[in-house]
Amino acid sequence: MNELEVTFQLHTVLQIQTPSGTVTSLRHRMRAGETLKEALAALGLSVDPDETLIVVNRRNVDLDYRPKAGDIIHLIPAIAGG
Amino acid sequence: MDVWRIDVNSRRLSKEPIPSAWRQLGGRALIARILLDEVNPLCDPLGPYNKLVLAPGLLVGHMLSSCDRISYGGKSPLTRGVKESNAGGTTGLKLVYLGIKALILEGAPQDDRWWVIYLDKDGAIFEPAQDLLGLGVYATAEKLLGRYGKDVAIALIGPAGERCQLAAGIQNLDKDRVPSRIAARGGLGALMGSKQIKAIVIDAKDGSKPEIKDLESYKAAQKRFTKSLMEHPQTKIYADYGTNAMPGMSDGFGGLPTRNFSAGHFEGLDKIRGEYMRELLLRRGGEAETTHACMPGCTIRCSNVYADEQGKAIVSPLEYETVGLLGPNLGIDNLDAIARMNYEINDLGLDTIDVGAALGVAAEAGLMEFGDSKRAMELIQEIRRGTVLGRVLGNGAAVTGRALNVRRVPAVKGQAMSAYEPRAIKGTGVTYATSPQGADHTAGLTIRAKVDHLDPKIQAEVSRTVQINMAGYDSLGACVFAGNGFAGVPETIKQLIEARYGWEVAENFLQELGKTAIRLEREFNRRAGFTAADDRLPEFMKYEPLPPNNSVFDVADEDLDHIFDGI
Ligand code: SF4
Repeated sequence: MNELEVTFQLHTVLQIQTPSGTVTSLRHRMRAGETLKEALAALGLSVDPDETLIVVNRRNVDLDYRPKAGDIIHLIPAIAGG
Repeated sequence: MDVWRIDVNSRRLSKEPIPSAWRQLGGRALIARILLDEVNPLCDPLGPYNKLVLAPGLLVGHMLSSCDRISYGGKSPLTRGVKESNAGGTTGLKLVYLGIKALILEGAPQDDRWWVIYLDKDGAIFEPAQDLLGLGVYATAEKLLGRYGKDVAIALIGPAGERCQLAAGIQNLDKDRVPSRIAARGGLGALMGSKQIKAIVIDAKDGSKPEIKDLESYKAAQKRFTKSLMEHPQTKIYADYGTNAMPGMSDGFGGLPTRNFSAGHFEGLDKIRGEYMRELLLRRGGEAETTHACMPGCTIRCSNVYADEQGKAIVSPLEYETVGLLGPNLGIDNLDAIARMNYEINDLGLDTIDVGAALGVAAEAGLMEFGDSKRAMELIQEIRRGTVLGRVLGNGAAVTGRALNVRRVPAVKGQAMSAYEPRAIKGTGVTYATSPQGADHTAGLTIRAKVDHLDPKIQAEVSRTVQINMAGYDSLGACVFAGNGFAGVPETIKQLIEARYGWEVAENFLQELGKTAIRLEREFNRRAGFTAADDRLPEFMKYEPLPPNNSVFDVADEDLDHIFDGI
């Protein structure tokens, strides 16, 4: 079974508060061909696709996206601007 | 409510009934209407025929969460076209308490005396302002609060406005009486300076809340709107991180303007982003606040107080656009330095966006190294001292580019872009190009849209929708973030308006207002001599690829030309 590694970059309220500090990124090994939805479920991260921008290579993707090795996947709680 | 008209030459106020064509307009749309009706679009923006208009939005007056904004308008000294610039704080609310639908300042003084205009229920009194000349907005506000009491609202200008510098804005007190809520864009502070008005003090102690025709229905709609707003996920993000939640998002799309708009990714991102700022402020404590309301009744509280290592306030608020233009745009990754520059620029009464962009252009011209915050502060001090260089910089990025012979100038219609790179967020590029206001993210930011921001074909449609909505919110006096609440219960806009005024309005009143505003604004600009050639981004963005996307701005000119067809 082929595996690959990706990195999730967590933004604002998705950053995880732990007693030893704030987790801003997570490395994750997943099966090749799995979707983002499956990867997030395996990680136990709950992401509302309507309220979250999922950005890979500076482009919006959706939960059906199948990550490639080395992808940096930004999970950005959507906001309208500054 | 009435229209209050002040001739600054005779120093006389007249109160007039609202013309019927103005009645159902407020804020931005009302300003566009007044300018078309009363101001020659070809006039000198700093001359006697231009007018400064203050117009609260239609919802202002009842502390509906985040809906008490004040719009300022006139022919822009910066763009030489139509201008509306709005701000939070307390000015809008107090004007409405005095029953003012619009305050129009017209004429030009015939001597060199400066004035404070004091407004209360009885009318307007002109008081000499000679002792305030040259003072920054913080010291001016302190003096005026001492003189008129703590309950007044104040609209005021700094030294830059006195000198009629083109990037000067009009500051307003926030709910804690700090003069930090600036109607920044388009040089309206210079327009106020040309009328020799240092400040307008609004004393509403004998005023009253505006009438509500159907209180029960109003309260029901208010409740639904507030609930929708409070439950919206973005509300928590803005409360926790403020608008400075944005750098990570902009950078994630490769659209964070860096080193004078020459790159879209900033290597110092982690030291300027909101997540870092929040932890820093929580650690510093003291006067630092990670969440703060600019106006009474705002439940979002996107503002903040930025404090130094000792917990002493440096500036409030520190916002994304300022961080973007004074940070990555100058290659600076030090929030303390950015906050100190922000304080100085505020105190001068200038727009941090246009000054930040001007400094980027100055760096490109070799007047500072990117990343050198000490030098950046020296350049800001040149503005304070009124040196030749300072006078150039205080006129904003476009003038600075011309004076220093720089080609890479991020401006449209003479107004600097905000902290979104149009080659990476192309829909916002369309807004920059086509908004009658000049480059301005508040006219229609598209970064939230779940679209391919690099696909040139879809951007005009995305931008058009947002531009219309934003022009509508600007006419209601609603903060852009209140829009999140209205988005969930859009029918409450009609309900609130009908309950308050007893009118009957269309289901899509918001969009109708927005379209009206844009239509009138475009007509003003047309009469001022603007053509399709003015609805373009700077040329370098068409051929200079922006790393890391290596994209150019390639939305078809035709799409820009037809964006408002049938509006
Ligand atoms: S959300 Fe922010 S800008 Fe809007 S009204 Fe509240 S504090 Fe002011």
